[in-house]
Amino acid sequence: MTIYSETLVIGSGPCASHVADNLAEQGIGVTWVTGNVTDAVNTIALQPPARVNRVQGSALVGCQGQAGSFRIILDQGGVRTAHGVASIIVAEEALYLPNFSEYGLQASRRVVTLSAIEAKARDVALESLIPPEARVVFLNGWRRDSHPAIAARMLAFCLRLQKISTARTVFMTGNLKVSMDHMEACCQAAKAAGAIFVKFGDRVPRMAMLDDTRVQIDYHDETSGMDFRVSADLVIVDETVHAHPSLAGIAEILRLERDATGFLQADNVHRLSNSTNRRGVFVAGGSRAVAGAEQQKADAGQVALQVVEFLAGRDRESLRTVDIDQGRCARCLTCYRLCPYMAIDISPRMTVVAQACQSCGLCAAGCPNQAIRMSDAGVPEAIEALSRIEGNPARSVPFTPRLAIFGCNRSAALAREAAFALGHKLSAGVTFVEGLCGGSFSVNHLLKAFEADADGVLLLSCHEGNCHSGTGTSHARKRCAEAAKALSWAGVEPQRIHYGTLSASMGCEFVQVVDDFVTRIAALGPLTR
Amino acid sequence: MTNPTPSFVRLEDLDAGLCKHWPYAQDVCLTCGMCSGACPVAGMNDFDPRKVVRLVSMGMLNWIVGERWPWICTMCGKCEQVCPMGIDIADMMRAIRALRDRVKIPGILQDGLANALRTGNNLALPKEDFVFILEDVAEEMTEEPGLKDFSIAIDKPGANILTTIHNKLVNTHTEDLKHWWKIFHAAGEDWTIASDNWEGTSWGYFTGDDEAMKIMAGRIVDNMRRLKAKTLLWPE
Amino acid sequence: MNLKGKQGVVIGAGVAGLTAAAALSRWGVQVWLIDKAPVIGGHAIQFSCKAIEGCVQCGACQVHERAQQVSRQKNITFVPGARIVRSRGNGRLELTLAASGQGAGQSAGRFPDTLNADALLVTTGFTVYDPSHKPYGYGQFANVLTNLDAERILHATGALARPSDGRLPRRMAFIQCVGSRDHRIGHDWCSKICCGSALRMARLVQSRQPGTAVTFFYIDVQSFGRQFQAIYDGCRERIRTVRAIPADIRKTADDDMQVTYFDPQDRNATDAVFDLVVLSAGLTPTADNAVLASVLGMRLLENGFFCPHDNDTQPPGMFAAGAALGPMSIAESIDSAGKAAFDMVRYLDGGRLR
Repeated sequence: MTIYSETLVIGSGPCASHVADNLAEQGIGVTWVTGNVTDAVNTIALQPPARVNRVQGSALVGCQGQAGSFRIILDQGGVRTAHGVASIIVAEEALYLPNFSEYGLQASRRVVTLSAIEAKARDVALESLIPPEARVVFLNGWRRDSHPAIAARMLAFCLRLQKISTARTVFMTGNLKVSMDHMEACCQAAKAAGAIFVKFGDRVPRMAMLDDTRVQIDYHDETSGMDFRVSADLVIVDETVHAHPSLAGIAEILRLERDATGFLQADNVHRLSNSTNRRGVFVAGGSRAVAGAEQQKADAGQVALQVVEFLAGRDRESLRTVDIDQGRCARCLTCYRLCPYMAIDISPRMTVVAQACQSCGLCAAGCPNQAIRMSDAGVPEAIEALSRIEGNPARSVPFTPRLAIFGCNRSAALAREAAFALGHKLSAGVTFVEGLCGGSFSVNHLLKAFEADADGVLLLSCHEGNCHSGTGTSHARKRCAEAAKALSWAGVEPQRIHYGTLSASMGCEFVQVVDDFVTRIAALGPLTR
Repeated sequence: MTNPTPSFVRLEDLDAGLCKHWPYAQDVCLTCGMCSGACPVAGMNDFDPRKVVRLVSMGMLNWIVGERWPWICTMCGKCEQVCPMGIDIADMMRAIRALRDRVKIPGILQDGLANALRTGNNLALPKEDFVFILEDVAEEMTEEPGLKDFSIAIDKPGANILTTIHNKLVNTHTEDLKHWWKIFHAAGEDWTIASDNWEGTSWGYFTGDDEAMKIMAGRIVDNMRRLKAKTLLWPE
Repeated sequence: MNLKGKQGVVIGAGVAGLTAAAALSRWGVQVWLIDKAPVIGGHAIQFSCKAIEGCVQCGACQVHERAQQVSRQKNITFVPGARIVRSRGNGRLELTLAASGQGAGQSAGRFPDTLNADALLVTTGFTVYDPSHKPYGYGQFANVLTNLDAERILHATGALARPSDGRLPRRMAFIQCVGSRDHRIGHDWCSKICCGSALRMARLVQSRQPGTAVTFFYIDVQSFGRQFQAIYDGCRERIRTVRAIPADIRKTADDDMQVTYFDPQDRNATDAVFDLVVLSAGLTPTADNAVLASVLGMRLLENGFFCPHDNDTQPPGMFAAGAALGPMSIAESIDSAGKAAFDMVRYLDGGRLR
């Protein structure tokens, strides 16, 4: 398999430019694709960094292959070209949409967006932009809260106007967002300079258009309990931050997860900072909702390090080999569908691509023919060990259940260690079987535990939304349900198997869950055979 | 049928810079509401300290100066104590009081202040009556166990402490004299009271009348100089 | 590129320090991870998971995962219970270590007296504001806790019970911005994480201890994470939010807390009784910052946090990341450490990576 040396950077703004620059500085060949720039996207004309091959006005239209050997197709004005790249970084800008509808307004000479006025203020002096003594009203997040980075820009501009021009500003918001650096101080300074801040809860102001096109705003001031009316010479409307429209297509082509709002990263702490569900594909800046110039530049730095780590093969300890026994493989494509990392090639034969595999074990656990074997996974051995527990505590009086706890190495295993660190002890007769992921335990594994004399089986996996593999924990839940069904067909109480979720920090909860389960199985008695 | 128009205050009608020079930092209010939570009279008359800060910041003095609430304020200062922005709310209340026409301040305060300026105390209590009351209560004290040798010193020169007197102590609450007299006695303190201009309750301070406050304070300073006391105790 | 043989020193083994140490070690740097505390993980390792039906992205699990990663790296040495007391040299620093006095139970002095550092990263995090001077009775009333106290109880026991009698609270109050956005004490910043932390904790307690009524006293709710609006809207259905900060707390005979606040709806000062109060105490610069900065010759911001190392504001080879720079969430601390690692690796390589 060819390993390429080029890297693809997708994005039309400063973040992508920084990423390209950072990588090129490290001697990595970069192809920078600026995507299909639409009118709604706020871009600045950029000089491409030296050493970077910028393909302007182009888009990614196809991608095959895996980490290290992606074969991509670019389309530039109808002309398609094929390239081989080792890694891909999506650093497209976020989409900033004017928030007119939140305030019941439309764009006009007197009602402008934040970006528009900021852009104008870069070119001309404030005095010529805004009439003397003008009443300027800032509208920032009413029923729907503002993004802190947008609020920061609004506050900074309000302070600037209030301090260095004769404008009289009024800042109207729901929740005043001051979490970004220096914003509390900025807000205090704006107030001290004479800006009037008005905050709302459920009762939002009413707008009316005056004959001279000024905007009349009637509002209830909760602080004084009184009603006010202001006639605005200029209204500055904020923007909302969205996933760039190109991300949907990119996600499909690259087979990437997206979060509920369309950004190119599952809202999963395991993706921190710039990872996606695919090795070799990274996301940065506005494509993962990072807003703010400084923050985007920082993100461009950290993603560059991660990319270089990946290219140098330093991003993980060892590659676990996963082999598909071609003799047993029936080409049912179950593994291909199960793999959350898109790491399985189907042609010419079903193969797990080592470069892309992240060792979750879902494929091996899901293969109906048990054709997939992972090196040093250790689960079958651990299950065997159950039947070799000394002293047969299951037959003692009072009855101490012999339990198998299947746990993923990120949640249950760490929680167990945290529990021991807190000084907790587990009941005798409990055997812990550690797996790579909750989804790495097959139904066979679970049932084999009962064959190895377990009275009860507990499967502990990550919370929904916290699983590194994304879907591993829900597969674990389904397999427990299947195993429970199998148990009841065999005349065994289905409650002897139980699925629970926890996370690495839940040390004492781990002990509680295990103790509860011990009590329940003890009440059921030993498994009679 | 039309809905009645709510009464708006138009920002255009306000002079936002009206109180810009007031040194109370009212513009940086966080609207946290702690001042109003601490205030013992918040909500009365539909006012609270946070509202006052807001109105001052907007230059809306016309909406406050004529109101009753600034005079309901006890000037306890709890609002100032809790304010995270360090706004001097109690001082601000006093400044608002100072803006009220002198003949329009609450009657009892007008009368008391006039008395104080004319006679040296809010009750217009003659000197002989004042001294008589003090000596009378002192004699009662000597009848209590352990206080046989108690005495008060009026106009004593060179004492360690000269103390002012709250007018209620020689009017409706004479019994309250005994509590702190006992403390001074047990401490073996060397203290005295002036027979003239003894009033400690400065309604010049309370009504925001700086001139009156200066006059009353000046008289107390004169007492200090005249009696050559070492320390002035001025409970207010 | 060859970073083997390079020594990196990371001061502070919280989530930022752990992230950066792991990154540096992947490049072959020999990393010394120092902490004045006897245990790894900083503050965040004491936080409880806030998941209800699913993960709410609080980040607490990430500290544990990263601590494990670090423990498996042969080229990272964790040095607990130690402080840097002296720094000498240019380029390669010679650092002198001493016992921090927090190594309780540890055999004292089992760490090298000096370390050489080709690059140094400060990730010393923050200190939680001590609200004893606020009128809330913290330190006197058993049932008034800080957010950090509550995290520790939840993490250690899985439940949030009243310290006075172990009973589960039926009515809880969260008071926000205690020690933050406070000009009087010089804390002119928002501590950023407390709104998210309090709301997530409130929902966690409600889900584990059904029937708990929660009141959330705030000034302005700050955003947290990409799904903020959805989480916040969901919270408001189950939590009573009051846009006013209480001014006083008194204790009742049953060790309940009588909280006085100005009700913005009724426009009246009101008393409400809760059986447990959690103060969202702010994130402040660690008291040691000034000492450490002076030992290292590094700059602090006016507010006492460390100055970011961008634009050469810190001496060459010295970097800072995480909440040592200012209040940050766990996710932001991880990002900050990642960026610092990028800067450090470039510096150690003389400006190139390969």
